[in-house]
Amino acid sequence: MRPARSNWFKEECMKKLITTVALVAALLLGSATAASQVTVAVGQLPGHFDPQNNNASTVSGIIINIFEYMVMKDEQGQFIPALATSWESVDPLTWRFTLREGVKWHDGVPFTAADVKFTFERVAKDATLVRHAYYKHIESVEIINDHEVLFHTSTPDPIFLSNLSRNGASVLPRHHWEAMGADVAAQKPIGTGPYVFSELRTDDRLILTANDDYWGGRPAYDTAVFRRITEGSTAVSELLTGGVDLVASVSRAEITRFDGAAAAKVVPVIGNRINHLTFNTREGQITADQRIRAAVDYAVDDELLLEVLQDGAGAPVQARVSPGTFGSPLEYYDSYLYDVEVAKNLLAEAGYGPSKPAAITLMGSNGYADTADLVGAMLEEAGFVVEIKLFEPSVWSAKYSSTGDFTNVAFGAASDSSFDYGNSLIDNTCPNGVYYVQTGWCNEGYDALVNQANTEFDSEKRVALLRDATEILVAERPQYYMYASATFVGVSNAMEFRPRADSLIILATARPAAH
Amino acid sequence: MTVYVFKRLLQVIPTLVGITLLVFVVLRLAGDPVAAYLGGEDAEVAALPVEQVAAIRQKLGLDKPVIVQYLVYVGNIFRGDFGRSLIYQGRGAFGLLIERLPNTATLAGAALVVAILISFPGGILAALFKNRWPDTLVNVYSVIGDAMPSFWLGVMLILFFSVELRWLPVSGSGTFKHLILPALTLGTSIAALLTRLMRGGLVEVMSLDYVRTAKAKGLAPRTVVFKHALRNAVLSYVTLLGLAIPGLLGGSVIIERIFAWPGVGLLFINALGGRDMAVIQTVVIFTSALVVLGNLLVDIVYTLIDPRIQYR
Repeated sequence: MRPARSNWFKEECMKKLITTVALVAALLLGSATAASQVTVAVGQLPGHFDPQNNNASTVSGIIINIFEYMVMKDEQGQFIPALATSWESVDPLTWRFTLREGVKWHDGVPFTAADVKFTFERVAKDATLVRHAYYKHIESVEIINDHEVLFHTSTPDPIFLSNLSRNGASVLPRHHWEAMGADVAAQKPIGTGPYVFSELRTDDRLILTANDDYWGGRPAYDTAVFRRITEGSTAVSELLTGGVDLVASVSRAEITRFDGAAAAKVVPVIGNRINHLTFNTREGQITADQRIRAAVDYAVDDELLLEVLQDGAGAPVQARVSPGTFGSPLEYYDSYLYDVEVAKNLLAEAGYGPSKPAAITLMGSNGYADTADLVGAMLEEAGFVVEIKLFEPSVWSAKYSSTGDFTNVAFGAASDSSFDYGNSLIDNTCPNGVYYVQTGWCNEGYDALVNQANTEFDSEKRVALLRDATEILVAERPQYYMYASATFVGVSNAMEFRPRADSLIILATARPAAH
Repeated sequence: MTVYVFKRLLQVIPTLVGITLLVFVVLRLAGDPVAAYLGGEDAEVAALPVEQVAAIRQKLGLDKPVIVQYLVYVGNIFRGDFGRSLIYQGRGAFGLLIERLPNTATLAGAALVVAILISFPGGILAALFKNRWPDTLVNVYSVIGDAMPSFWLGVMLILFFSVELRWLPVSGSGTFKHLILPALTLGTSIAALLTRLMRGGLVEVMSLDYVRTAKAKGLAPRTVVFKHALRNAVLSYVTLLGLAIPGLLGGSVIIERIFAWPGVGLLFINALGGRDMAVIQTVVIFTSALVVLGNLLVDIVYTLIDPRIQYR
């Protein structure tokens, strides 16, 4: 029996050893894979989580991980189900949505039609919310049952779906907002998205944790951290040393640092942010004369601007068009006017020449210093006498945005998170379009076409109307559209992630790279 | 002395009232806080419909006359309410400031230590070896240190210590390692001026009669320098140090930006960009109070260093 006992003892010891080794190995391996984290460097963090009171595209790109839209767009711009599984336009003033079943808010309360009603009636009624303008025509949301709603609008709205899948359309939890009030609810967000809010350290980082109960499946990373790094070179240094996995916007000066870098790559993404010049067309301005505005367009070489300012990444445009934006007449994309002789002739035709020089003022925030220098030089080449006035951004924003107080020409850029061209054209209608304050431009024919297009449900007819409206806009030029700029996204090679044209950072699609 | 300190503290009140009024009025003349709602440079479009701007202005109470707005504001301060932030919707401005203060204070404290460690021995060394090589070395440092922009130094330190050597984290806060580079950057730039002051002060004092007497008495050089000369040489040094503190606590905007260090400086620059009036006002009032208190502190320290100085 003794040898047997000795064997038993040996076996026991062996077993214990194996178990211990296995445990240690599991612990070691486990710690390497268990708490996975993805870190994103962004230029701006949300100061609050009231999606209906946010106009910044950076912020909407972040909070999409917490809150969800009713419908999403895929990378081809096609609508795909999110919180709504199906939809139809019942009549021009009514939309029916079937809501996804089994979805829970992050606190465990089920998501129902009451949340949808609360969300959209809030933004439709409260004019002090910055996203109000896109939803003010919603008269009421009628609850058919817990998972079916009817939206009643005061005007026919073919862009409705696009407006439900854009910045501001995040569905909010009624129970939370009503219990807490807007100010508290906006600091302790509860959503239905793949990530759950954990902590916001203002101006430092936003920490999110994976939603185990997410209807679309648990995301690959356990924790998602958005770090605010405003200094471009610091963000890239972090990416190259593995401190962050994604830099939402790499500044142009830093791009060469990715040459030969093993840790990360830089991906150019062309969205629908268009750089433009806005003309003050009011009486007394030199830019009141349509020929002068045309001369500016002909005098400026868009391709050269792109080359110098964007390293060639982007496309020259003649309108706010882009391939991913529905209804864009693409003949105005990747196309531009440039002929200095034509510009000179237009100036002469307008009565300007050596004896009476065409004095023009260019204004903007000092972020446009490079653009202003280039544009100014090209205008002088064509015979303009140029004065450039740049301002500190907040001073400029206050001066230009809310009062439209500027002389002749202003630098700017605009994007449209709905990716529907009809929405971009509304901005130039009179007097309700947001750019009317600045341009003072009114054209009844244009307004009629845009209004008609934006109540037309037949896609083909709608596109034709938008094209006709664009023709007027391009001919009269209250704004001169220069180029669609690219955003450069820095992505770590340790991660698989495809940046989107709409700059939404959907981390549920990110995963560790396979080795 | 107590009466003097009390009197000086009372003087703080009219100073602060003046400052609040100035900031309040200038802010309202310079721009429109509705810009904060627009989202800055990232805004989809740089404007809102006119009637919506009017509604927001009314909600924020900006449609009332400036003097009414000011009185309401001051009244609220006495109730401990410094107003609510626009950018950080719903959060109290004072709470935001307090939340950031530990970060800024940590960085400021570390930078001061760095600055003193460099400037105090450096200045003394330069003065004692006047016109010899240690003096030249220190002078070269103080000229370069003063001329070198701190943003450049910060970026270079990151590239060298974090990207090349990988010894220290690039940016952020939380651990001691995170503190080293920003403290070094900030400390070096303050140290340059302090070193020169220390050297100048000591050189001047060393040529005075009483020092010559002390030397003639046959005292050890160490006693002459540290016991007799240094006390008188250090006055201007302490003044500058005292004046540097409020500036440091107000946040070093550039350093905080480069190292993504979430302190008062970043809060302030954000608030400025977004016309977040309540936050701007709170930070300015706080920094002004610090300057006044910093001055007072310097005056009190004088009496400790130099018994000839007395306040009544």
